[in-house]
Amino acid sequence: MIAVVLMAAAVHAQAAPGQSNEKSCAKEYPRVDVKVDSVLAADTNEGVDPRLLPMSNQLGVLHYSTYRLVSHQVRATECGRTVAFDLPGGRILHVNPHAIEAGMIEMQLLLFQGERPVMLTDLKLRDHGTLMIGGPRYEQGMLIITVGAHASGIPVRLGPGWEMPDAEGAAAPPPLPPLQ
Amino acid sequence: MAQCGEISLLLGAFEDGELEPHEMREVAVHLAACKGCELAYSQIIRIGMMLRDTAPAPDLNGFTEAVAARVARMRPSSADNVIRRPGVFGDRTRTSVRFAAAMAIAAAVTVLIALPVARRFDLTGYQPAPLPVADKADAAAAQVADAQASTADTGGQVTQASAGDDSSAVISKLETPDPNVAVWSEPSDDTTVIWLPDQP
Repeated sequence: MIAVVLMAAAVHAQAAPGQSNEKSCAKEYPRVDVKVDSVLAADTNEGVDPRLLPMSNQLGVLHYSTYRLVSHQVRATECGRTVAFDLPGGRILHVNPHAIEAGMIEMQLLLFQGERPVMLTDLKLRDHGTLMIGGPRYEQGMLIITVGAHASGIPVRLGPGWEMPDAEGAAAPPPLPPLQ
Repeated sequence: MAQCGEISLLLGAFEDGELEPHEMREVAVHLAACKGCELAYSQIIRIGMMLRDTAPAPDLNGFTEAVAARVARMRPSSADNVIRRPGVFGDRTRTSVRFAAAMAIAAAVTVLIALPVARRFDLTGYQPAPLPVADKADAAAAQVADAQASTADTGGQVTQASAGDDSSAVISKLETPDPNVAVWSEPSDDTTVIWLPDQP
């Protein structure tokens, strides 16, 4: 019982700095831009979507012969606030950047397939770095979800696929003709 | 539409992944729209991380042998039982009490040590399995394999995978019901990949 009380006190004492860290996180980095691209990857030998050429090296690690951009979303949020992305195939991705330290953005990702959670991950992502989540089947191939983030306050070095979002987020690109 | 009061009671279980799927979605949708609940959820995440940092898993090397040796020292020898037989009732009682006390202490210590570790990796409805190493056998994949080996006895959920010092991502926790999940990194392309095969 005494141990429980001491543990609770320790957590409370540490929670105070944590709360101030969250507040300073939102205060120091009032804006975090989260970019989520949905890419169809398949072995149909149709090449790389021109809009994905800046990311061709990164997508190339998967060794597919076709890459087509299905949706491109860039949304602004603030440190500590969750932003949700609707993905193809009835999937939803929740991204919560909750801390920023040494140029690394700490975030939690929660991927849903409908109502079913399929992945929960805590990670630190380098500013303008890329995390790819792949494997879900989509149309004739696989769905590749690329996640990137940039926090205002960290020196800007826009990488491939980044543009300054508007207040509502960037609109999806026009659809390509369906693959044969 | 769920109210904040209802959602706040579910945030702890939501963070632990213990809710039913429809509850998980309801909480997630509410958090995306409610700043107040989102702040509360962020604090829960923060506290959870601090708790895990303040309670590191103890080293259990030699624990079983130490407990067995202690139990053996407390168990009376056959000679003692023969010699003390005339007044043996009290001695037997003391011996039995000592033995029972030792077993109870061992069981309690085991529960106290194992329970936080087991709870840390328990995810209702999930069936964790050892994580296979990706086919791309580079140095980063080798580091992931080291992380898998260190967590093999906990069901294989990766709790720390740096995937290379030059990687753009450091994954500290990954939970999924997919038994074939793989993680690898391509430092040259500043990319980290989480692969979830067999998803519909």
